[in-house]
Amino acid sequence: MLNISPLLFARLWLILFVCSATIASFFTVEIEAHVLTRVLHFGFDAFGRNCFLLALTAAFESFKIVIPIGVVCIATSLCLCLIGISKNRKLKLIWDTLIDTLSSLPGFLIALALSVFLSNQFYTLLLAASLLVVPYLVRFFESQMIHLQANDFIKSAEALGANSIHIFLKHLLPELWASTLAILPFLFTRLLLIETSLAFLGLSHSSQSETWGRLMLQGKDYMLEAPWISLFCGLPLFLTLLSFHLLSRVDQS
Amino acid sequence: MKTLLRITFVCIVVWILARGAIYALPGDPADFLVHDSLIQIPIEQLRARMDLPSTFLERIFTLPKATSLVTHQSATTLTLHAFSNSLILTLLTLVFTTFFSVTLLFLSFRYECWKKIAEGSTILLASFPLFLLSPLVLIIFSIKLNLFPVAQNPLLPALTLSFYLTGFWYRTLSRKIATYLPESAAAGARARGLEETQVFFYYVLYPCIGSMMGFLGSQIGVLFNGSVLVEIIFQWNGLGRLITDSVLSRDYPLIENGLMVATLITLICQQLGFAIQRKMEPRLC
Repeated sequence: MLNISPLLFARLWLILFVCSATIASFFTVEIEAHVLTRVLHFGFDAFGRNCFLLALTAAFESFKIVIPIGVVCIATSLCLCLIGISKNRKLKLIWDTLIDTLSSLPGFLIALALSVFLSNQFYTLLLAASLLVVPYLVRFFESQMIHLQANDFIKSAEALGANSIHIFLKHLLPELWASTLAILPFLFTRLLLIETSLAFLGLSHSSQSETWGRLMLQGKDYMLEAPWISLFCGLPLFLTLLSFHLLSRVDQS
Repeated sequence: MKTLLRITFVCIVVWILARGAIYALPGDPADFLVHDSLIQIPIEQLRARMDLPSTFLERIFTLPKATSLVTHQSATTLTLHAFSNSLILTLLTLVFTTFFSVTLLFLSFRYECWKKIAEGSTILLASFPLFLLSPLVLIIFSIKLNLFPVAQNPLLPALTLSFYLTGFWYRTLSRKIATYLPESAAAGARARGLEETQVFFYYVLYPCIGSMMGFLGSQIGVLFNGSVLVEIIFQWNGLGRLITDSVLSRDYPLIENGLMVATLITLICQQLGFAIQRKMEPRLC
């Protein structure tokens, strides 16, 4: 019972929150017009906007940025894995050194420092995600592929003369689907933290719409006068991260 | 030798990135600095100080200018000062995190009821984003309880970082202990009549930490550089804050210096972790 309850909470929270954030971002005007009196006690931010609705739309904006980056990270990692499982020893050595080097770099600081040279902050986020997430994903997928390669159907395909790209696309990739789903909570936790941290430092991807990090940055300045800005924007983020942590723990076990 | 080569290779890559990336900027960076930042230097002088008339290769093979573009102070002095502050913060955080993690691990090893409490609390701590946890800690401990000064004190940022890190350390180590315990010599030690404290430290924690030193070493490097948010909120002038401030004011010499120091520290800490791991757990070599 104790194991099921947190998982149920995590799933329910994620479903409800993502749905309400999506709805709020599309129908903000209608919700403000009809339900404003019910959410008044959630307070307003420094620009007179409702914190509750703002937190929902900010969540939608954050996910809108994080999801494509997550897809790019997974695709890049899988492409890099294709080189990793190569039989060429020299190529494998270079690849191993590259991945080890990437994982030992101070990724966040490098992305932060190089943000001055990048015209769009989306590239900063992409760079930070590439340095902080991709090496771990590559190692994870590599270990999964090594396990899969020991199976009979892969050995049979090799014996029939299939090349490594064919084996990867036809046999390994479909089998990696379950592993990809298992790593998603971890991936989103990392990416959400990177996105919100960069936005909190004033390096937000979008200058038009509010994200979680930008709201937290605003809330920091009014922590004593208006603590609800931080609270109502930080609490959904905390619960979302907690849900992802609980889900990743279940996946690991 | 292989380690040294790897460190040199990474440093060269970061050096090329830091020194050469200025050429990737759209338009004239000196013109941008004069119009849109705090830097008050004539444009020609600024171009010379940023090594802009030189070519890409010339810029890579020369050292960055020795003074900050904004404060006109020595970049080396500023970086060293930030480095020493980061070192204090890192060491304090390590002490607190080790204390909290080991205490929680021992309690959950000794008493079954503590296992659930420790797991629950560490998941909660690991889920708390630092930019939410830090202002809360600041308000509670500095403003409401008045226990610590509001700024320029390393104790509170170190405590905040350790709350956050304990979540990760406890979970990683407890998972390791759970897989190691069935094959460990703990049962034999207990049968010989050793105390639970001795069993835990000598037969459970020490072998597990030995194989985890590589990870812990990289964590120190991450901690050294990754405490940017905490340094900004608690106004602690560490390396992360130095780089962030330089980025926001486009102070290129400081960015280049800071980036090199940060990379070197991360690499050295990681390799140090691996060296200790090789000593403590020779089977992994």
